[in-house]
Parts: sequence; structure tokens; C-alpha cells
Amino acid sequence: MENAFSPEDLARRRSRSKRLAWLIGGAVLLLYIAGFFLKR
Amino acid sequence: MSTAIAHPGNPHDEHYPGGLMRWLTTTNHKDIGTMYLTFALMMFFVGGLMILAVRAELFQPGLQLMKPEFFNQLIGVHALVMIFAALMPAATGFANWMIPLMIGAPDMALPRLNNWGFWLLPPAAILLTMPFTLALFGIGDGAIATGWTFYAPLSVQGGMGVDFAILAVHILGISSIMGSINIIVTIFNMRAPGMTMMKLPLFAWGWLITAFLLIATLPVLAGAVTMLLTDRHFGTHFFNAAGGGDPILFQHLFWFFGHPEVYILLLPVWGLMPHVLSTFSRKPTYGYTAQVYSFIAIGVLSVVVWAHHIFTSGMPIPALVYFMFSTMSISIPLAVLFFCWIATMWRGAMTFETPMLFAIGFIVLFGIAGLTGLVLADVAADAQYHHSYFVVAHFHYALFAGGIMGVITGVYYWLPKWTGHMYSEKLGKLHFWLTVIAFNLTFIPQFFLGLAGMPRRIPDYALQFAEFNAISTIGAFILGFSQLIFAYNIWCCVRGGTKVEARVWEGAEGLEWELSSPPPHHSWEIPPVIR
Ligand code: HEM
Ligand SMILES: [Cu+2]
Repeated sequence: MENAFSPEDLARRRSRSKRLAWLIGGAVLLLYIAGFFLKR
Repeated sequence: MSTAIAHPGNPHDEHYPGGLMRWLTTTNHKDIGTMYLTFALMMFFVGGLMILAVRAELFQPGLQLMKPEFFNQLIGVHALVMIFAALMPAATGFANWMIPLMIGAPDMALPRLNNWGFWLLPPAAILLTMPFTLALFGIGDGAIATGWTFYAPLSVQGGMGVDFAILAVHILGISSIMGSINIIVTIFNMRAPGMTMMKLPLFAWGWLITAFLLIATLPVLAGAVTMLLTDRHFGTHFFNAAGGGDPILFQHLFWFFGHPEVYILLLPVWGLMPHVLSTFSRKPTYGYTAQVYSFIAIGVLSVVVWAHHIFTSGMPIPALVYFMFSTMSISIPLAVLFFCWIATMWRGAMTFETPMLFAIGFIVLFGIAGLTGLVLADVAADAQYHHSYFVVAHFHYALFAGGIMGVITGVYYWLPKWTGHMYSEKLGKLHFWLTVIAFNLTFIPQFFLGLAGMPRRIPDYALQFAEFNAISTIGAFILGFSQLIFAYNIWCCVRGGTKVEARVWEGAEGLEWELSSPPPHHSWEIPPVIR
């Protein structure tokens, strides 16, 4: 890649990271909440 | 060239506060890594002091020093401190320091999240240990006394120490989840051009699997202890048999987290080993691909074997058989790793600097953990060994000889890179031999005690166990005090010493050795060229 780690490239990498981070965070929260509906 | 990519060698191209504010507000992966490691070392000694008090009580039969209630509190908080406040933060410190250097990234992907993840730890550690202090002033009846496993119904009935521990575990869990998210997105998005996943250093691979395991299992632990909290204070009956709940459900939920947790503690170390072994054998790592697939296999298997911890709690026979064989099957990918470690050293030009000594000590002693694990995985045999000192010995071969000695390996291996100075080899070797001898002196007797029927988590015991317990206590004190050599060696190395080059060890390969020692404040502002 030509301009790796240029400010634009870094900004792109960071925003991609943020999106994935929120996605994982959401999955974690879902898993946590799902537990309370556990029936036996 | 614009100022944004000026550098390397100009650590002051940005303004940041000095003193305490620097550490409170830092978003630099190396500063944060240093804080994690320092915190872990401090908590290692806190947890160590607790267990030395326990061993002192067990030196002789009879009650000498403390009440049984206090004894139970020390054992439980020792484990929680060692697992959540020493081993896990140490591994996260390694990740922060090394993953950006190794994958050619300028920093972690989400630096502010990184700062936050660390600063949740000290309050959590204070919450965990505060009930001890409060009890001194007559408030409450001390810390959590259920052991680290929180089993209901004891934890439903316990004093306010349980509430403190529940809150602390929530905070520690949030911190770990934030750290894991950061590591995953960093590895996925911040690699230098050309650093493909199958070129990723094994240390980063080990951590990647660890991070996924944390994300899959910590919410379950958090859920379980939240349910415990509502049982205690808000009238629910998840785990209360009298109200139609099921205490065994808690055990399943806990171990669904608890078993993967032991691999969480070890995968970063397994990732580190091939680097050290290859460096000091002056040979490339043997079986890179096999090791990556073994990590993945172990990660997957680790979430489907949890009930081997509760064979004796009662379950249908097909379930017993399933959990026995699935547990045993983990030893297959584990054996692949052992094979690769040995093959990496095979016919190499080996030298035995301190990190290499600890790595070899790790392989031998951790092997004993695996072998005794197989013994415990046998349903028929476990009926006798469960809740005995045999289990305690087994998991200390895993968590001290595997986890802690692995972390020590990493510290000696990377300390010169971090500080720019060489540590004292003489003290390092002394530390190694004292640690290995004292460790075995402490824990070999515990295998025999367990086989002879001594239960774990009791402050007093029958007379026939006296000799082995005395030996174990002597070993534990030597083991504890020899760690002071480690701390002293680190201290001196941070303060000064012989300067080292970028490639600290002649056989070392990898991007991290191409940056100066210590590396510049911003790691890879210009991406490295990857062959
Ligand atoms: C082939 C490998 C292994 C097998 C088959 C195995 C099997 C077992 C079994 C069956 C138990 C339950 C014993 C009982 O309570 O009756 C156990 C306990 C334990 N194992 Fe392992 N194990 C293995 C490796 C490990 C590793 C690598 C670690 C840690 C990094 C580890 C950490 C623990 C811990 C912490 C406990 C006790 C937890 C407690 O009750 O407080 N084991 N192991
Ligand atoms: Cu297990």
C-alpha cells in the first residue's frame, strides 16, 4: 500500500476499529442480558 | 515530510503532562503496558503474602494463628487476586507493550479505551481487599470466604465481603472485555502492510484467541454473579433451592467461564514460548501453522468441557462420559504444542540465558500439570481426588509453573527491550534455581497429601499429614522470598545498567527487535517493510 499510516489511512483504520468494537461490545451485552431469561 | 510522521528518535514531538497526570491520562501503549505490568507485580506480592499466612497456619496441625473464617477469606482472595489482578493484567501488559511493536502498528487501535481499561483495575483491587480493612475497624465480617468459585448457597448466605467481591469481579470483567476488544480490533485493523494473518507472530495469535475466549465467557460470569447479587438482596431464587432455584446451576455457569479462564491465563504464554525458544536455539520456530491451529482447537474445545470440575456434583452418566472424553481430547492439541516447542530446540545452537532457563523450566513443569490433569479428567478417579490437595497441586503446576513462570520468562526476555538496559544474569539465574527448587518443594508434597486424602480449603488437618505440610510451608516461604530477587533485578534494570542494542538477543527475529531499545515514544509511524 502506498500511503500506509498516513493521517487518512490511520483515520480509516480507527473508524473501522470503532465499528467492530461497538459490534463486539453489543454482542457482549446481549449475551449478558440473555442469561437472565435462563429458565430451568 | 509533514510533522505528523516526523521521527523516529524524537520523543518530544507532542506535549503531554508530566508526573502523575501523565500516567492518569496516557494513551500510549507502552505507558499503559508499563502500568499493567507494575500493577501486576504489586498484586503478585499482595496475593503472595496472603497465601504465606495460609501456609504458616498449615505448618503444623491445630489452629495456631487465625480463625477458620479468616483462613477461608485469605484462600479465596489469594486466588482472585492472583488470577484477576496479577496474571491477567501481566498478560495484558505484555499485549500492550508488544503487539503494536510486533505487528508494525503505531499504537493500539483505541488508545483511550486502553487507558480506561487499565484505570478500572486499581479500584477493583481495592474493593476486593477492602473488607479485610473494614473488619479491622469492626465493620462487617471480612472478605469473601467462599473460595474463588463463589459457590451457592454459601455465597448467597455469606457476609458483605461477597458483595464487595461481586462488584470487584464486575469491574475486572469490564476492564478485561475492553482490553480484549482493543486487542482484537488492533490485530484486525492496525497491521502493517504485508503482515498477513499467517505471518502474525505467535504471541499475537495466542492473545487473539485469548481475547475471543474472554469475550465469550466473561459475560456469563458477570451474569452469574449478578444473579447471585439479586438472590442475596432482591428476593430472586436463581440458586436458592428453598425458593425453587438450583445451586448446581451456579456451578455450571461458573465453570462455563472458569475452565476457559485457565486457557485465557495460558494462551498468551504459549504464544510467547516459541519466540523465546527460537531465539535461544537460533533456529526458526518449528511448526508455526500447527501451533496456530492448536491454539484455535484449544480455544474451541475449552468452552465445551467445563463440567469436569463438577463430576461429583451429580449428572447423568452420558454427560459424565462426554465431559471426560472431551476434556481428555484437549491434550491432543496441547501435545502438538509441546512437540513444536521441543522440535524448535532440537539440534539448535542453544544457550541458557535466564529467559531460556525459565522457558525450559516451564515446559518440564507445565508438562506435569497436563499429565495430572488427565488423571483428574478420569471420572472414576476424580471421585477420590476431587476437592483434595491433589487438585491444588495440579493447578499450581498449571498456573504457577505455567502461568507465572511464563510471565517471568517474558519479563526477562523483553525487559532489556523495554528499558534499554541489561538485567543481571547472575541474579536471574539465582532467581530461576531458587524458584524451581522451592516450587517443587512446595507442591510435590501436596500431590501426596491429596492422594492420602487431605481435603483442600481447611485450616486444620489430621496428624498423619503433618510432615508433608511442614515441607510444603518451608518451600512456600523460600518461593515467596526468592521473588524479591526478581523485583530487585527489575528495579536495578529500570534504573540503569549496561546499554543494549536494538536486537537484544543475537538469535532474535521479528519486527520488535528492529526498533531501538527502548523503542521511540511512537512505535511504527512509518510502516516497516515486511519480508
Ligand atoms: C490436559 C490438560 C488438563 C486436564 C485434562 C485438566 C483437568 C482438570 C480437571 C478434571 C480438574 C478438576 C479436578 C477436580 O476438581 O476434581 C482440573 C482442575 C483445575 N485445573 Fe486442570 N486440566 C488440564 C490443564 C490445566 C491447565 C492448562 C490449567 C491452567 C492454566 C488448569 C487449571 C486448573 C485449575 C485452576 C483447576 C482447579 C480449579 C478449582 O477447583 O479451584 N488445568 N483440571
Ligand atoms: Cu477445567
